[in-house]
Parts: sequence; C-alpha cells; structure tokens
Amino acid sequence: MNDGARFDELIQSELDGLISERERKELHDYLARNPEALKHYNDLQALSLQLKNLQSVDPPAYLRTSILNQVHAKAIQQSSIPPPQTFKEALMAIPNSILGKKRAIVVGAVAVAVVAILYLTIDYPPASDEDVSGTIGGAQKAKKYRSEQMTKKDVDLKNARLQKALQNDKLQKLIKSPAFQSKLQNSAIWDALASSALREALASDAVREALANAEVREALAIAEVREALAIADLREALAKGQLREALQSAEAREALQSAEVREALANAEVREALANAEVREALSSAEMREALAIAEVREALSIAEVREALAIAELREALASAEVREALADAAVRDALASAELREALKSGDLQSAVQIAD
Amino acid sequence: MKTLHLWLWRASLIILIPQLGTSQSLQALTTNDLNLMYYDKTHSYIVPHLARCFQNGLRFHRGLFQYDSHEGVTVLLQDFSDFGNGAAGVGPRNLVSVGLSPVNTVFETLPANERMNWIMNHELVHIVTLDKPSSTDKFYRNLFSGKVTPIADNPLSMLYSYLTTPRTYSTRWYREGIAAFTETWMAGGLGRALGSYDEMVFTSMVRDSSYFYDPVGLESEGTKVDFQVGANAYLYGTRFMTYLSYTFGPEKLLQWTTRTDESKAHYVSAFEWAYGTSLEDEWNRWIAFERRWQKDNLDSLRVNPVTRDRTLSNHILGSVSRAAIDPLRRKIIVAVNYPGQVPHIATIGIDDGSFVKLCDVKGAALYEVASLAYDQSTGTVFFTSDNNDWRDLNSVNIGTGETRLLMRDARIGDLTFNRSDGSLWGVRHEKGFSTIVRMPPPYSDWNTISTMDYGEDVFDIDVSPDGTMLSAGRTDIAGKQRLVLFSVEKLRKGDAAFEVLFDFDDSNPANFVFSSDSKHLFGTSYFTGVSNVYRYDLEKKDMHILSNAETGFFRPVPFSEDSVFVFRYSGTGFVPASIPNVPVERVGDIRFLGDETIEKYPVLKEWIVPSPASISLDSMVTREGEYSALGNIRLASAYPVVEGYKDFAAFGMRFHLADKILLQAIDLAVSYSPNQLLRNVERIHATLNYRFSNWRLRATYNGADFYDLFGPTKTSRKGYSLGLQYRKTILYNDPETMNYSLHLAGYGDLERLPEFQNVVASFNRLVSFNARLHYEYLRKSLGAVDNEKGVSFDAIFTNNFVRNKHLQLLYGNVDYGIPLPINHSSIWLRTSLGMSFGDRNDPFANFYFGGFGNNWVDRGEVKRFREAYSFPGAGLNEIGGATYAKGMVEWMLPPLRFRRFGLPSFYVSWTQLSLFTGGILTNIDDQASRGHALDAGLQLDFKLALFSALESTFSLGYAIASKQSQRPSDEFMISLKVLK
Repeated sequence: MNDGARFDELIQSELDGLISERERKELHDYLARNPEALKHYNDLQALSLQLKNLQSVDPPAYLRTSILNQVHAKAIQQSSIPPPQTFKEALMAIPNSILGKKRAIVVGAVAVAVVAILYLTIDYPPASDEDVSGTIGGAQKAKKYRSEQMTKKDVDLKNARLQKALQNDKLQKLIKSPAFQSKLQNSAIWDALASSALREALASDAVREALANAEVREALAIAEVREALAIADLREALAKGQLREALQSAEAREALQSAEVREALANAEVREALANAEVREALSSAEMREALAIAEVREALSIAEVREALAIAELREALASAEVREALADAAVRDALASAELREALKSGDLQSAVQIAD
Repeated sequence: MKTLHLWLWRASLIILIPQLGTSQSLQALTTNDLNLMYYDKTHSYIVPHLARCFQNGLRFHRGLFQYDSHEGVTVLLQDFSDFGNGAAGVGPRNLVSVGLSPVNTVFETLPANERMNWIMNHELVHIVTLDKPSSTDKFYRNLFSGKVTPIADNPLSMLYSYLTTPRTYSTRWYREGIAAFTETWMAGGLGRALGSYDEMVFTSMVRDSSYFYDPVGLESEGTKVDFQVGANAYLYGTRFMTYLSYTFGPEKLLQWTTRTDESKAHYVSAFEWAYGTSLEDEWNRWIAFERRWQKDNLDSLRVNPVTRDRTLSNHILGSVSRAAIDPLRRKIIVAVNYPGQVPHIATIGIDDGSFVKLCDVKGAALYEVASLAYDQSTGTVFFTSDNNDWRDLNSVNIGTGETRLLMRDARIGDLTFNRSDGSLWGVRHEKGFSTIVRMPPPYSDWNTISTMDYGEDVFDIDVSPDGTMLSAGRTDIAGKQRLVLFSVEKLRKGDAAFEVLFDFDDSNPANFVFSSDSKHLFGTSYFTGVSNVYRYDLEKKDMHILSNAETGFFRPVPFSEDSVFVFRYSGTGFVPASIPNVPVERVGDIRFLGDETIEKYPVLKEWIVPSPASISLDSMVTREGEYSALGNIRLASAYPVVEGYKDFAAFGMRFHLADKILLQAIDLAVSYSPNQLLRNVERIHATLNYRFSNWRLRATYNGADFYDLFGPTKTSRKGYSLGLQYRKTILYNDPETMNYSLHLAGYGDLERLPEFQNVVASFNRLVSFNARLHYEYLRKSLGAVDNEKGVSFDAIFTNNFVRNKHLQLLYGNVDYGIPLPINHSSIWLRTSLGMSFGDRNDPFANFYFGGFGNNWVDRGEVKRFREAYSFPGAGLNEIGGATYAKGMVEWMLPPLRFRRFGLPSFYVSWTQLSLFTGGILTNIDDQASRGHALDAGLQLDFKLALFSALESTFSLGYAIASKQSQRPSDEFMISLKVLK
C-alpha cells in the first residue's frame, strides 16, 4: 500500500474513532509534513462534523406504505414475465455459472430445502382455528398490540347450566305459571328427577304424551301394575297382542291375578300407551317406576308446562346436578323472578346517586 | 265528607298494611375487601367469577396505584338493563354497580375482553384514584368520622367533602380517561386506549378542521351539546392520557393520578406539580400533536385513492340505527338521535333526500338509538324502545304512522325480519346470557332458538331474503370476532352449528346484511384500522374491501347492483351517503397512538392482569348469606353545621348513618341557638330522618334549616312533629313513571302552619294526612337543559285533623308541553285546581299563594314559579282561598351555552330564560269572597360548576302581579340554588 492510501486509511480510522494512539501520532506527523494531505484531512473532518450535527428525521408514515406499494407494483410488473411453467424449467433457468457441473447435487439440496421450508411453515406449529385470522386482498391489516387473552378456562361459573336453561321460553312460562308456583314446591319431585333413567325417558315425546293421560297415571299409581310392567314378556306381549305367549310366563300369570292389573289393562288408553315401544322401554327401568310411585311426581307430570319444560334437553341435562334441582325447588329462585320491587328500590335509590360519580 | 275521609283512610290502610310485610332479600358474599351483593338468586352463577375478578383487579391496583386502604368495596351485581355497564362512587362508602348483560358492540366504541373482568378493572380504577387518601385526607376523615358527601340540606358539607375526598372534585374526562387508559393495558391491549373508534374520531376532527374543546369547554359544552354527549369525556380523556403517556411516560401519569402525601389535592394543581406545566398549556400541546399525528394518518390513507361518497341528504343525523331500504317506496328508514330534537324514527327520500319524522323513540341508546327491522310488504317498521333499560318491542306503519307496543320488557334487540315467513328474529339478553329468538306474527311472544354460553354473544344478525340463512357477528370471552352463518332450518330444530365465514381477529364484523339475491353479505370492520365496507361472496367464500374511507363508513345496505348505501362518520354525526359496489385495489392501514405508546414504553405490557382463576376465592370468603341492611347501619360521617331558626343562627352537628349499600340511612342534626332573644324552650333544635326502603320517618323539634339564614322563605318552625311517609312506584317505564305517596304527620306546639310560614295557626296541634298520586312522561333531546315535551299530573288529598275537626283539601295539577320548531324551545301550559271542604274562615281550610318562593340561598326547585302555590309578583302567601283555579303559560327559550366562560375550578355552563304569564281565581264558589289576580314575569338561570363536581344554579327573576282592587305589585328574585 502506498503512503497516500495508507494515510487515507488512517484519516478514516480517526474519523470513525477507531485509531490507536501510535497510529494517530503517525498520522499527525505525516500531516505536518504534507500540506495537501492536511487540507484533505481538514475537509473530511468538516464534512464529518456537519453530518454529526444533522438531526435525524422520522420519515412520514405514509412513506412506508408508499414504498411497499411500489415494491408490490414492481413485483406485479416483474411477474408479467412468464414464469417457468415447471420446476425443471425453473432449474434450467439458473445459470450454469452458479450451478457448475454439480447441478444434480444442487438440485437435490434445493429440493430438500424446499420440502423442509414447506413443512416448517405449513405444518409447524399447527395452526388452530383460534390462531388464524382472515386476510383480505388489498387490505392492509392494522397493527395493534395484543397479548394473550382470557379463555373459557379463566372463567369459573357456578350452575351456569341452570341459568342457561332458564333462558328457554318454555321454562320461563313454566316457572311463572300458577300451577308451578302452587304445586311444585316439593323437593320429592326434584329428587325424583335426579334419576337419569327418568330424565332420559322423559326426553321421549311418546312417554310424555302417555303421562299426560290421567288414566295412565292413575294406573301407574298402583304398585301391582308397576310391578307387572316390570315383566319383559308381559310388556312384549302387550305390544304384540299375543296374550298366550305372555301367559307362558309364570310371573305374567301371577301379575294378571291382580284385579287392579286387569282393571288397568282393561283401559284402552292404558293399552294404547303401553303399545308404544318407547313407553314400555321407559317403564322397564326400576328407577322410572319408583319415581312414578310418588304421587307428587305424577301430579307434576300432569301439568302441561312441566312436560313441555322437560322436553328441553338443556333442562334435563341441568337437572343432573343436585344444586340445580335444589335451586328449582327453592321458592326463593322463583321469587327471584318476581324480585321487581327490590330491583326498583336499588335502581332508583341513593345507591344510583352515589355511583353517578364515575361509570 | 265524613264518608269520604273514612273511605280514604281505609284505602290507605289497604295499600299500606301489605307493604309492612314485604321483605326484600339481598344475598351477599363477603371477603376482607369485598361485599358482593345481588338481589336475584339466579345471578349466583357469576358471583364467584365476579368476586375473583374483583380480588384480581384490586391486587393489581394495590401495586400500581399504591392503594393501601382497607375500607373495602361494596359491589352490587344487577341486571337493570339489556347492555352491561358499570358505575362507581366513593362517598360515603366505596361502591360499585356492575351490570350483568353483554356489552354493546355498536361501532366498536367499547372494545373489551370478558366483561366482568373488564368492568371490574375499570371501576376499580375509579375507586383507587378517587378514594386513596393522603395523610391530610385521612386526618379529615378521622375528624369527620368518615367521608362526607355533599348534601343540599347543608352546603357546608361541600367543604368537608372536598377535605375528605378531594379527587372526587375532578372532571369526568379526567376520571374516565385514566380508567379507560388503565383498563386497556390490564386487558393486554383490548380497550379504548387502542380503540379504532377513538382513533377515527380524532382523525375526523383534524380532517374536518373541527373545534377541539379545551378542558373547561369540554365540560360545559362538549359533553352536553355534541351528538356524543357524555361519551366525549371518555374520548378526550382517554386520548389525553395516552398522549401524556406517549410523551412523558406512564410513570408520570401515575404520579399525577395517584393521591400521595406529596401530591396536591385538586387534580389541576396535581397536574402542575407532576408535569411542571399548566394543564391548559399541555392540553394545547396535545391538540397540536394530535393535528400532526392525524395528518400523518390521513396522508397514509391518501396514498391509495380515497373513496368518494355521494351524500344523499344534507340532514346530519347524529347517532343512527341500522337502516332499512324500501326500493318501491324509495325510502330509507332509520332511527336517529341528534341534539335539539327528541330521538325518532324517520324516512329519508332516496331521490330527493327529504326527511320525514315517523314517531318518537322512547329511551334511545346513545349510538345505536334503537334496534330496527322492516317488513316491506306491509310497510311496518319494528323498533325497540327503552334501549337503556329492558327493551320493549314496537311497530310503526310508514303509511299511517300508527304505532303499537307489541311486547313490553321483551329484552330483545338486533332485530331482523324474515321475509319468507313473516317472522321477526332477534337476540335477547337476560341474566347475562344471549339467546337467538324468533317472534312469529303477531309478535306478542318470543320462542327460544339457541342460547349462547356465558361470555359468548351474537349481534347484528340478518336473515337472508330466501329465509334459509342467518348471518351474525359472534364474539367470545377472548374478544375474538367472527362473521358466522347458521342454517335457519337447523336452528329451528335445535342445531346451532355455524360456519365461520371470516375471522376478523379482534375487529367487529359489524352490521353484515344480505344482498337481495342472498349471494353476498355487506358489512363493515375496522380491519385496516378505519371502518370500511366489505363484501363477502357466499359462493366463492371470499371477502373484498369496497372502500378506502378517510373517516369511516358504517351500516351498509346494498340498494342496487352498483351502489351501497352507507352512513359516513363526521364530527357532527352520521351522514347518509352511497358508495360504489366495486372492490378497491389497495387500502393502507393507519397508526394507533396507543400502539406506538406501548412500543415506546414496553412497561405497559406488564400491566396485564393474570387470570382471575388464579385467585383462591374459597380461602378469602368470610361470609355468605342474606344481607341485612338494618344490621349493617354504621356511622358514615359526623360534622359541624350551621342552621337558621327564624331569624337566628344555630350551631350544631350532623350525623349521617347508612348501611353498606345505602338502602337505609339515618340523618340526625342537632343544634343550639345561643341568641338570648329566643326563649329557652326554642333554643334547642333537632331533626331526625330515617329512610328505609320505601318508608321515610321524620321527627323534628323546633326544626331548623340552613336556608333560613338567607330569607325570605322560612321553613323552620317552632314545635315538634313526627311523620311517616310511604312512597311507591307503580309504573316505572322511564321516562314514563307513576308513583304514589302517603304521609301521616302529627304536629304540636305550633305557631304557624307547617306549609305556610306567614299564616298563624288557629290551634297548636295538628294531625295531617296527605296522599299524592304523581304521573309524568317528560322527554328532552340531546343537549337540552330541561324537559321539552310531555305531560305530568298530580292529584293530592290532604286531611288536617285539628280541634276535633277534619279539614280536607283536594287539589291537582296538570302540565302539558310541546316543543317548538326552534331547537330546545318549548311552550308549556301549567294548570292547577283545588277545593277544600272546611270552613273557609279556618286557616287550615284554605290554600295560599304568592311569590316566586325561592330563597336567596336555596335547595328546592329552581323554577319554583311553576309550583301550584307560587304566584310571582304577589307577596308570599298573600293570596288565599278555599277553592281556586290557576293557569300559566310558559315559554322556555333555548339555552345559550358557553364554550368557555370561567376557569377549570369554576365556570358557567349555560344560561336559559323562561317567560311566563298566568292568572288565578280564588273562592270560585263564593261570590262575596271571590278574587282574581294576574301576573307576568321572567326568570333567567345560570348553571354554575364549582370544582367540576358541584353544580349550582344562580337565578334572577322579576314579575308583576295585578290583584283585584289593589295596586299592582312587583317582585325581584335573586337566588342561588346549591347543588342539583
């Protein structure tokens, strides 16, 4: 390196603050001997000072957008050149000067890289429904800070099922009905509904319709009838009308010895109800029969609004919970639906004036 | 007459006795910091979660604001309205009211995550910033045995209140600004400090060169006359707080808003102490900054061609509902709410922009106004009223104008009409749940279709014209927003499965509606940061953007192949316009000040609160069960008072006791008049008031009154009294209400009549029974200072039992007002009629009239010239009669609002003039003693604000009265009404 170039380098190093003391001495000794070099050094120093004193200016926000628009526009222009139609053509377009004679190796490496990239970007981490938001062509999504948000697991509710069930219009009508208010303040009813067999049975329209019939309910009030209906053969026979088959069963014969059973079965409506397979299936359950032994339960089921309400799947689900049944049995829950006076007192009283200060 | 009074006694007992047995049961969950109360057991499902949110938020605030008070907070969980909200106060106790319903998503004015968490975070900011005491504040709280609330009965309480809770004397923008700013970062960026609507408001203000209110003008005018009214406090406040944080850092902001021993009491002084500059100066610097910031945003938007809309009507509509279009009748139907006119449903001519009012909307919501749907085949508009309460469903026919109430308290909104079967669909809110419902004709009942889980909500639903699909915006606990599609047939069978059409991340898919061929959906979103119109193709399943708005487009309705009807946002309200139905190529985004703030100060990321599920509530609960108001009454404050008794001053103490939720309260004032001119027996004064539920018990002994120090009206009376009042609301359909009250009082050792100071009592003992029925349906528009239309009436019966005689008085008032075409101006006819049933020579059997009735310093009604007993121009109680008929016509002129008249600590908001003239006829039934009088006068009122929070009214009045056979007299009135 000649002297000129050497000392140019030293000048640059000094301006950049990267010069050592020995080099600085060397530089200044040289400058003292070379006026031209000194002038050049002074000019560079003045320029450097001017640059340092310039204030940085934030570019206007739209400039970023403008530049990106330009880039996008150029990309669209450039894409007007017909791209390679096949991978082979794309590879063939790569100059030999890059690939050299090792085209096959390079192609193989690129292929592996492409596969890896595709795998990593598409499948890992797997995109969940919750993570992917839509994109709209032409629309730049606004940038807004967002951290992780609450989810359902952060919200711990108590008896939410009942409250959700209470949104149903049929249940609301039921609870407000005078029949419900007067007849269903009995925990026995709600305890009976603890039976999943009963609740499942009541999901059936046919079962509920059957229980709507007063004579069917009266028949079911008789213990012997219920016991008779526990006999599978009898139930089947009643469906098929083949009494002889039924009488082959000793149990069936014994059941039919009961005058009450025969009386019940003499009733056409009872027989019609029992002809329905769903009803018979329901009555095959000991829990169901036990529940129907309770007078209050039968009485409750005589109320149309109750049967309508029990048609609601959410309510039946909710009734699986002891707390829910307790809540429905609790007069206060029903009273709560009529808590208008207290609501009004809180709405219009001093409390509202006190909290006007901020909302 | 004996029969009449006996009948009335019996009626009163029949009404009263059942009320004695009525119990009101509040449930409470208590920890060391919290009393969480609820009146409805069916709300219990949310109680543990709300309690956790409280404890979680409080734990955070104790750290951030160094809040070390252990007073505890009483939280009332309520379901008073169909949209959730919150409110807070710190005097006399820390109180928060939390609404259970889903929040309103309209125009994305309220971005939030799970609402109990969000409301509690926000309201607790109010508690900690307003309640946290310095050692000086603690000294005064100890001195006065608690936090004093200002009461009109004794204005000295205003001074004590300031000494005990100085930060409550701050403007609404200050309080809401810090709360909205903090809530945003506590929710990880989901809040108003990063709100798209907020950004849009200021972009529009700069674009339109709108006036920026200063701190005084914002309170006196900006939050009253603008179509956004009180919301301006949130907008300006949040923005200013964000600006301060961006410029100086969040620590400085906390220094300003946190009350410490070193800080100044008043928020304005505290600002100067924290920032070293005046609030006004920095506010002006913020405005200059905002102009630069928004200019950058506008430049950014203008890089791409901006959508030019075609204005359809020059009528600025203020807030607007969803619109419907009737292409056959060539009308746009919309509910509107703008300053100067009562909210109403209107039609706008598509071709000529003509504007026709259809009917009023009672209880309009601020931005949404009402939910609206339209049946084109019959010309029936379905709309909701009582939108800030439990919504009613109504209809109006655009041909006949006939309105009908279809369902009261239906609690249903987001209405849409299914053309295929004539049914209405909507979203019902009750007990915190959202339910899609269907209402078949005649729309008098609703059926459940599908109830969402808690925390999920659907909004802006629409049924396709062919009746097969239902679109909706759907949000969840995390604040995720999706445009979804249901099958109507499946919904009706109980299958609520939906297809996600588009995930907007955290921007509302707002007001998406079907095209007439059911192939597209048109709606808006802040996807780019600006509210633009989008079109979704149901066949191709893709979304296109149709606009590049500078301000924002909302509520689109496609109304031809090539045009889409929209509302364009402007600073004065929404403008009806149309835009082309053509996708635009490119739309850039904008910068959010909140986003840049957190980038500059990443410490804000640490403000996010952990999950409320992390709170071990079970170990914190100290009690669960019924709450007894009576058992929880405690001393709230005790402070010295000055009162007036006749023409003498009395000095004493006032004690205020209340339970935690202010259901019951006891006030006792005891004072002594040292003046020797008073007889000993009259020197001691005591007044006891006990309020519990609907009952009021009042006892006095030589009752004194602060305002008697400032005559001429005196309410202090020698003697003793004991009274019991029962008051009940029998119709609460705000603003339509009806209530009755029954009052029984005994008086002894009387000198003057209890009601009429200038009338000497003919006997010194009296038992008085009073029954009153009151009805009112009064309305006013945005920016009004008084009611502008409506009707009210009173019917009052009084029975005075004196000297073993019953003397009955019966009288009634009817007021009727109509608005004039001039904004905020109305004409009122006020009438009154009365008769007594006793000896007209007995003073107890007469009515008395005269004077304005205002004291120089007062607490009663400002416009007392409207009262039945007043007759400006004549002397107090000068005119009397056993029977009377009275009438007055009053013209209320529009108020003159002051944009800037005063200082932040004291300013004048507005002034308003009323002109009146009236006449009275007395002893109508007795020609010999019949009399008449006429008067005319005016009253000019000035609304004052002291320390931002204490509103008072200064009034000047003048009247001339001409009485029969007497020379005319006149009266000049000057009065300062203290507090509201």
